[in-house]
Amino acid sequence: MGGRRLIYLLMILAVGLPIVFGISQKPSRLVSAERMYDVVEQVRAQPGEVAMVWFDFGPNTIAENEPQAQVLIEHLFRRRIPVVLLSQYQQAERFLTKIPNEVAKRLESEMPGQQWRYGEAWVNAGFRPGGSIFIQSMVNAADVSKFLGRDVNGMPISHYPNFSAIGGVERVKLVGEITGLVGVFDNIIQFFQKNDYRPTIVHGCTSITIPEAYIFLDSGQLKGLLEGIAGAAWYSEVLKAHFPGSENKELLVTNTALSAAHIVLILLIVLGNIVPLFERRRANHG
Amino acid sequence: MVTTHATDTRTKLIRIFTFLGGIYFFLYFVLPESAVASLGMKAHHEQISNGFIVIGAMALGLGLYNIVRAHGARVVFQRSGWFNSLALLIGLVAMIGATSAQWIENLRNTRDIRSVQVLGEFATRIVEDAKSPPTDRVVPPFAERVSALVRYGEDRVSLIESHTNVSVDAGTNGASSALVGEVRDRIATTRVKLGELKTVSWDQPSDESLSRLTQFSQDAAKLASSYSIIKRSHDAHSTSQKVYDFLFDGLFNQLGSAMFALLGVYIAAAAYRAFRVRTIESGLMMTAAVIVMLGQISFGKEIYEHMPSIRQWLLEVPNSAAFRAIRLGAGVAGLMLAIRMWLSIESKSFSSGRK
Repeated sequence: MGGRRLIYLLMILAVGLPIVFGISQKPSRLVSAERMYDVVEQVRAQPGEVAMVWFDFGPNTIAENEPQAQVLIEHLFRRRIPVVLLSQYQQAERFLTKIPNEVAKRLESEMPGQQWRYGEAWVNAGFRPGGSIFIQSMVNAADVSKFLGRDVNGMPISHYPNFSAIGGVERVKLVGEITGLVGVFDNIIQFFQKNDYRPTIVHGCTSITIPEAYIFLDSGQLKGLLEGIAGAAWYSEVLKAHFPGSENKELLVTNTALSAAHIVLILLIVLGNIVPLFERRRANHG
Repeated sequence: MVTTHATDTRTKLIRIFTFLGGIYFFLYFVLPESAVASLGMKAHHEQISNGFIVIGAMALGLGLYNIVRAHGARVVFQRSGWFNSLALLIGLVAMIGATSAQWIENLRNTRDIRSVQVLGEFATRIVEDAKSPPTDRVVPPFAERVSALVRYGEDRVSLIESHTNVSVDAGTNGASSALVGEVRDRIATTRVKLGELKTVSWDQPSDESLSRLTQFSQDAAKLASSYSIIKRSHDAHSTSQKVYDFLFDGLFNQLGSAMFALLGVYIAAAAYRAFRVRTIESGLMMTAAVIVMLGQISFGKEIYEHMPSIRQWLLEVPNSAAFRAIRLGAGVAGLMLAIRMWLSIESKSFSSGRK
């Protein structure tokens, strides 16, 4: 009982101290995040072409998925690529509104005089039920704007100039999927394509789903991957290297706290193997 | 006897619809596009898919009904755990109430914004109709339409002005002072343009009058754009939004995150108590786990420079191979399960257990 309490205390200290004192360390270099940065950087969106980003996460995985969503949206906004935001997961509805607004405000305060406004920089198409059936229908629709119909405010999406005539799904130049749910990610991989169209898909996943995501990265179906908070932190570093105004101190602190927790975890595994050995030896001698 | 007959009919109906639904999507997916088009499936696919989505969405209503029924009964009859059920029902009602209020307010705002956007579109339509009169519909005389445009414009500008003043009086209510200034500038410009439209003779369309209308249309579109932002900023500070924020950010978000965060503590305890190296396989697993963890964290590179590269190799090669095998196996099992469900031989509710 006492041992368990000590373990809990160690974990709380490992996670809490960096957060309380704002300690941050440079994150580990992750090639998958760099690949994702390059992919987003190479997107060339002509007028009418868009990026489509799915936020398929809820409160339970915001610690990992929210920073990923922030860095991806920040990069797309900096590159002035119009973004259609939507979700297959009803609990994500709140984040579809909150995250782009926060990123837009941060960019506007960093670059006075420049604006990122709803309807110009992004539209929020909200939660869409139907999963794979919905995606298959959208992919086959003649005009994605008309298929999506209205945004979350009840305004026709085709009414916003940057999104008025997206046309076929071929005009979606980048598909982003931020989720910790393997099922909804599979929907995108399997069904967001048609005969002559294979989208550029990038993915932000939780740490627990990294091993599964790697098979798609290896096969080329995924062009870039953000691996948990560590992926978002490294992406943020790459963003900062290219856009010096970009800074996400909170993310780096969180990543450092998580790193400290990992160190504690490794120590516990080692101790968990050494302590019984000593105990057995002592018992044998006794 | 009658009940058994009705049950049999219902079972047959379910089987038929399950089979038809399954075969439709199977054929749509595997047949070449030309065959899909010639069978007439392509033309109706969107409607059919929407039908399935609607049926799927009905599950939400069904879930809601079941929650109210199960937990409502527990509260009414004060069965064990009734207090938890009451908390659940209160949460459910509060969230539905807050979301509905926010939704209604959103629709109201959208209607106001749309009514302003129409102004510019109306001016554009008058210009288009003047340049090439429509043959498929009758439109009122040019002067009458411009007069209606001016009247409607004055009405909308007054509405925007009153809403902007409300924002200013309430300390801009979230809208930045720069934005309020921008809206006021655009109101002033639109008023000037409306005044100019009144002074021109509109008996016959001329190049000058059409040019003024085009200019007015562009100014009205800019005004609508600024107005929509100020309106949404105002909306972000409404009572319904605050209640929603409290329920979602203040409660749901925090409770959801806390539940997930508990996992970290359990994993730490499990790592100490259960992750024992007793065989070569478990030793390999522990080594891989430690390398992957160290390769991902900030301190890993300081322990060994090539840690991230080794981690990368582990994930790309052995991990991918193993996961592909798992996915392949799961895929074959999933296919078998799908076939059994498609042919209605999987679910017991279709076959046994009822007779």
